[in-house]
Amino acid sequence: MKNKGRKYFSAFDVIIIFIVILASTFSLVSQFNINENDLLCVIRVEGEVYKTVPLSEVNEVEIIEVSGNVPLSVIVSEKEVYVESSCPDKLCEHSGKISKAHQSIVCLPAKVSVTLESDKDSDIDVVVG
Amino acid sequence: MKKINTIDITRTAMVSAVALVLSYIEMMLPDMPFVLPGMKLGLSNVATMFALTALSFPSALVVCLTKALFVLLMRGFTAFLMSLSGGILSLLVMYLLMRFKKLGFVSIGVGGAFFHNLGQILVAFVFTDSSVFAYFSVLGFSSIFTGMVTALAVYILLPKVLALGIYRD
Repeated sequence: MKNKGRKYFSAFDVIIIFIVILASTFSLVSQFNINENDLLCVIRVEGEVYKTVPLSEVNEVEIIEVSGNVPLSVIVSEKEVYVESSCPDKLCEHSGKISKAHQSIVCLPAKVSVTLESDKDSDIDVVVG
Repeated sequence: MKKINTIDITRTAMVSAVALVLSYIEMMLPDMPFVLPGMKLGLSNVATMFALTALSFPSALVVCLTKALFVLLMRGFTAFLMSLSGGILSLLVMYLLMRFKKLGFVSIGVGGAFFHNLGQILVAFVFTDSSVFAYFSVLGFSSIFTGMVTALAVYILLPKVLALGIYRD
């Protein structure tokens, strides 16, 4: 039988456990970096990039008006982004303030999406690939 | 291709049934303190690993697929995809690790548990975004413990079950 004489724990198992610990730690560390990076506030209208604002270059508060089917304003500050709209749904306003990479606010009636993106995204993909 | 005989089908079916029962028992376990949702013992991995060690790779694959179908019926399509990708990935890794005779059961169990989590997280990544990998580190560390438990169960069970004679020609 192929498993005859296989021990429960052999010295070589330490190597495998070490690799698992290493990979888990790596995955943890790579996520810590992502929040410290410069975030980009990307505003898209009907899927096309309308405006990109790096949060680090914002002095105090910047208000970006997006005129579409439904007018709405995107309020960008150094730490966070939120949306104000005259839309009856108010769904986008209810999304609240976003401050971390990959968070987003979407307004369907206006076909506008506001996403916080990080330049380091490609690195993360390499880590797991 | 090797001819499939009735006895192998029966043996695979028996292990599959055990996998389903273990999977169901695990679903019923209450949430424990200090354990995050999604962190599970992976009891049904015992059945997969047993199928791989006592039977064959194709048998273990069938156990995996049966388990995934069960999850599809019980918990829906997303859970099905996660179970399938995790199950197949962990099976391939366990099969690979088993070729190294010097490795203990712990390696196979921990490797299997780790890649089961990886397979599931990859599916979660497709449905959400890369922030799920922060969670992956927690699952990765937990797979060392769960893998050891799975390995211990198989290590203890294997000689006893084989002694019954029903898994041996």
